[in-house]
Amino acid sequence: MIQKRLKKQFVALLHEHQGIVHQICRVYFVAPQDREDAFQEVVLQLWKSFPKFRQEAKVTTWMHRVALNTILKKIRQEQARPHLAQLEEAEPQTVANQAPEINDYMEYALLQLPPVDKALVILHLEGYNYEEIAQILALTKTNVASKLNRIKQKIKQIITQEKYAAQ
Amino acid sequence: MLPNKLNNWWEQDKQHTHAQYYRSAEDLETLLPKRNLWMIASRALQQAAIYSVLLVTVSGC
Repeated sequence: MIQKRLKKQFVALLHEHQGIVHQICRVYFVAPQDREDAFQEVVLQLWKSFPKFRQEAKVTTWMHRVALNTILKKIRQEQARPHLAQLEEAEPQTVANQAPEINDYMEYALLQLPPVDKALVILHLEGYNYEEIAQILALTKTNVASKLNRIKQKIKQIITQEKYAAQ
Repeated sequence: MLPNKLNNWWEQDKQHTHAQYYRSAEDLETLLPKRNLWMIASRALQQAAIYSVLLVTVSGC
C-alpha cells in the first residue's frame, strides 16, 4: 500500500520533471542507445534515493544531483574499463569526429567539454548559484567559480576555432 | 557569465529535447522495478538495529 503510494508520487514527479534527465543524457551521450541506457540508470537511482528525499530540498535540485552524479559515475566506470578504452582507440567515436554533422557551435562547444565541466555548465545554465553547484557536485565554492571562469574561456576558444575552421 | 548564445541555445534545446524524448507516466512506470528492494532492505536493517538495541538494553537490565 505504502509502496504503491510512493510509486505513484515518484512517477508523478518524474513525469513532471523528466526533461531534466533527458537533457542531461542528451548532453553526455551521442548514441541513442547510450542515452536510453543512461536514462534508465538515472531513473533507477532516483527511485532508489526517493525514500530518502525530503521535501526540504527542491525536487529539481535533487534530480540534478542524482542524475549528474549517476552519469559522472557511469562515465568514470566506463573509462576505467581497459578493453573499452582499447576499442575506442581502435574505432574512435568521439564527439570531435561527429563535429561536421553538428551545425550548432554552441552544442558543439558544450559536447567538447570534459564530463565534470559539462556538469558545471548545465547547472550554471539551469540558474544554480556557485554555492548550490558546489553542494551538488561536492566541490568548493571557490573551485566552482574558478572552473566556470576557465570553462567560459574554453567555450569561446572552441567556438572561435570552429568558426575559423569553417571559413 | 557564459556566452549569451549558449543560454539561448540551452533553452531552445531543452524544449526540443523534451518534445523528442517525452514519455507518458505509464511508460515511466515500466522502468521501475516491481518492488523497491533498496527500501525493503533498508527497512529490514532499520528494524534489526532497533531490536538489537532493545535486546542489549533488556539483557543489560
